[in-house]
Amino acid sequence: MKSRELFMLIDQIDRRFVEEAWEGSEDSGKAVEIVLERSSFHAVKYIAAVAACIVLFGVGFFTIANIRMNDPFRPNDSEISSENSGSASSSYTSSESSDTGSESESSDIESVEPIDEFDKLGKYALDCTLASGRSTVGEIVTKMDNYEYAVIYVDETNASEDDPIIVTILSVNEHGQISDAISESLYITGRGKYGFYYTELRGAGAPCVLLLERKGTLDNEESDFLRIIGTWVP
Amino acid sequence: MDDCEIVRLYLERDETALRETEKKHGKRCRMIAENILNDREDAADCLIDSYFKVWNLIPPERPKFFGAFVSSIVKYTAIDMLKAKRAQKRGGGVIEKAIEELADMVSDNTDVERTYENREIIEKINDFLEGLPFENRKIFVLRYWYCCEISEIAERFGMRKNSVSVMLNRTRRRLKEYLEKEGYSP
Repeated sequence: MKSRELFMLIDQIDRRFVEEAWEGSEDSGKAVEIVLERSSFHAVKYIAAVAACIVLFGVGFFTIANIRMNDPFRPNDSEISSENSGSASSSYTSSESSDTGSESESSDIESVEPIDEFDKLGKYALDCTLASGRSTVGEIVTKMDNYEYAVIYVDETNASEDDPIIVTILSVNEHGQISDAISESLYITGRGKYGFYYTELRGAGAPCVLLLERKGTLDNEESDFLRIIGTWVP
Repeated sequence: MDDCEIVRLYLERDETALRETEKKHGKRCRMIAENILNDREDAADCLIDSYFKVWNLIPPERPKFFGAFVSSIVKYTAIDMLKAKRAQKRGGGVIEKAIEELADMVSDNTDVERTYENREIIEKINDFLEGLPFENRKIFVLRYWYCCEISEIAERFGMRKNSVSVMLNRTRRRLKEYLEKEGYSP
């Protein structure tokens, strides 16, 4: 159609007209932050992770950076901590000592790696690959409204009604203890592609590290912890 | 952060560029994608794909007008997604309406597929836009470049929808007359 061609021609007008038309409509800054999860980003991510780790180790802020842990939802494998007193939910402790001899292929966290700088807005997800390398499930791409919400970007390719991915956001305190879930569980049943999910976050103390917990199917509640996805300094 | 700074981040392969792009231009990109796709989830997918394309394009590209550059990529990505979607299911959106409104402006005899002529027409359209009153030009570009809904434009300019429609209608008629005068229509 000629009108379609004209439409495409108009698309190529001088870019200053395009900028001019948008003037006065700049973004408020509340927009959702999107971090792309593509293979070509991984190199950059790892470089950023290493750089951030060096800085953070330098100030001795994150002593939890090398924690390894087994599936904390297995009573026999995890040391239940009672340090988070006053909380209705259970809490979990991970430590170096829990790493010996019983590594589960899909439930280990390789290390706690604060991957991004501690800026005010924070960044919450760069690497969600399981230590086993089994799968990349998702990431928190942003939080909005004074840290009350998280937007989670989930690769739901393999999810289905019968085999949902269940994601919960957990926090880890500065002692490496996985504390309570700070979000409701998201049941992701799949659309055959990637998706964004919003979830409300409950308040957490400072500073902490966020984890994505990816549980198995409804029939198999065995949890897979994703690798540490970022830091959160309220 | 200004656009030059954001482009510099891309050139340095600093992933912060993506966040800054979203902060600075996310609103308009989202508006374009949602207007074209009529679906928030698809629009979100579109933005991801688009930012990924921007990441891959810069470098070597060094866009002078970064906002327009990103917006353009979002628009084409959204159009591609719409095409794919339409291949499965017939639907409708603002882009179709915008194209429809332009339908009576170009005759079948105009060979806009010839590249050199395209460039000439684009130059003529630029000249035409240059000569338009400021507000008319912004409204025209918002409608036919950004694919804004008429109601959105009306709200933005504090006008009635009908007034925006009339203004667009007159601008289209003037553009048609201008192109005819320049020999691009019979």
